[in-house]
Amino acid sequence: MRRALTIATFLLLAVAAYMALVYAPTEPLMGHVQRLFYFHMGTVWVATVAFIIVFVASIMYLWKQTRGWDILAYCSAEIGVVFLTITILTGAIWAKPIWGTWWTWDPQLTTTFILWILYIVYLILRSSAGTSTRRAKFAAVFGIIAFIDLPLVYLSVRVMRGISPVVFGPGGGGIEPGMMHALLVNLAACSLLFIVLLLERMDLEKMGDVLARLRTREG
Amino acid sequence: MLKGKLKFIIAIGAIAFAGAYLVYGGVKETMVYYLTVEELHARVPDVYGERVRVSGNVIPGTIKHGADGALEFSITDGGGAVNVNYNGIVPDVFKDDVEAVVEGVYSESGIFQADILLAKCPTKYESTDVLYNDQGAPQGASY
Repeated sequence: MRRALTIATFLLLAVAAYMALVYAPTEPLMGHVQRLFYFHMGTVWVATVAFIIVFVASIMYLWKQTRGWDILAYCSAEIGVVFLTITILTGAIWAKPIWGTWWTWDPQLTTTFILWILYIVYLILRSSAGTSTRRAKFAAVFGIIAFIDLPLVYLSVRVMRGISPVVFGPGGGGIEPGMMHALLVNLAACSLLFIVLLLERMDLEKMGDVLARLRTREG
Repeated sequence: MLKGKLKFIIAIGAIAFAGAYLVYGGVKETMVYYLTVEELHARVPDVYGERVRVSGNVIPGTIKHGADGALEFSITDGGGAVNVNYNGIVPDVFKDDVEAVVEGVYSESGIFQADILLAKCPTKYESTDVLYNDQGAPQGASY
């Protein structure tokens, strides 16, 4: 089952890359660099879902106090940070020719940078906690608080003055149907990749627990 | 035991949310990413010599390329205009009517000396087919 899911994920990723790089029409004003948009959106979507999972799993961990929720929060945060890093990098590469700079402290970029830092801090807190449940709970509280920045990323670009484009929703210009197809396939592919990575990473974490138990028994 | 912990979490959440809201509100009120042209004029003469960011649409026909990469253009937001001098890398999408963000210093001479020029990208992503088939498509596209 896991094997089939993994194969399906990589097939869909290949299709998604084709859709983004070949199928989608070329944006007349920005040219081919606009194609980064599909990977930018795919990864930021995964990061958003991952951080929502961290939030929910952290609350559940504090409530139920079972290791399963702790594992889910930790593994989800790790993948979320990797995907958000890709989002920031693709955004910077796109911004250099379009805006004229790799980075500028506009509201959305600033809140996104804070988001990135917050979850890196969460990872440091959680990984340094080791088997201490007290420190794991502290990390969970941080995982809940860090979540507050996520809506700000989405709100800032709509409420405050900035340079980031609002493409979707009220005030947005929208995209061509061909671009929308490519975007949806990329969102689906990134979602599948997230599920596969999350399952694998959680298995790894559980194996670590088993190993630790065996070691204490031996010792 | 459990109730106390839950209370603690809710309290922390409420405090953090209130804090974030205050920071957000404060930033929104006082610090803005850029000034409009109108706001820049309203701040004269205090703004002279101060480093600011200003945004406006490039007035068509005002872009002049001088010697050794010097660039002159005017931006407007409907309520007045600013003449900008700039020397540096020009973004790909910079042209007439594009919304530009310039960073630099405004002086008594009425010239805004910019050392950073950013262009806002359109929020509508079109296809090349539309450009070639539709008369109403944007002009002067480079692709």
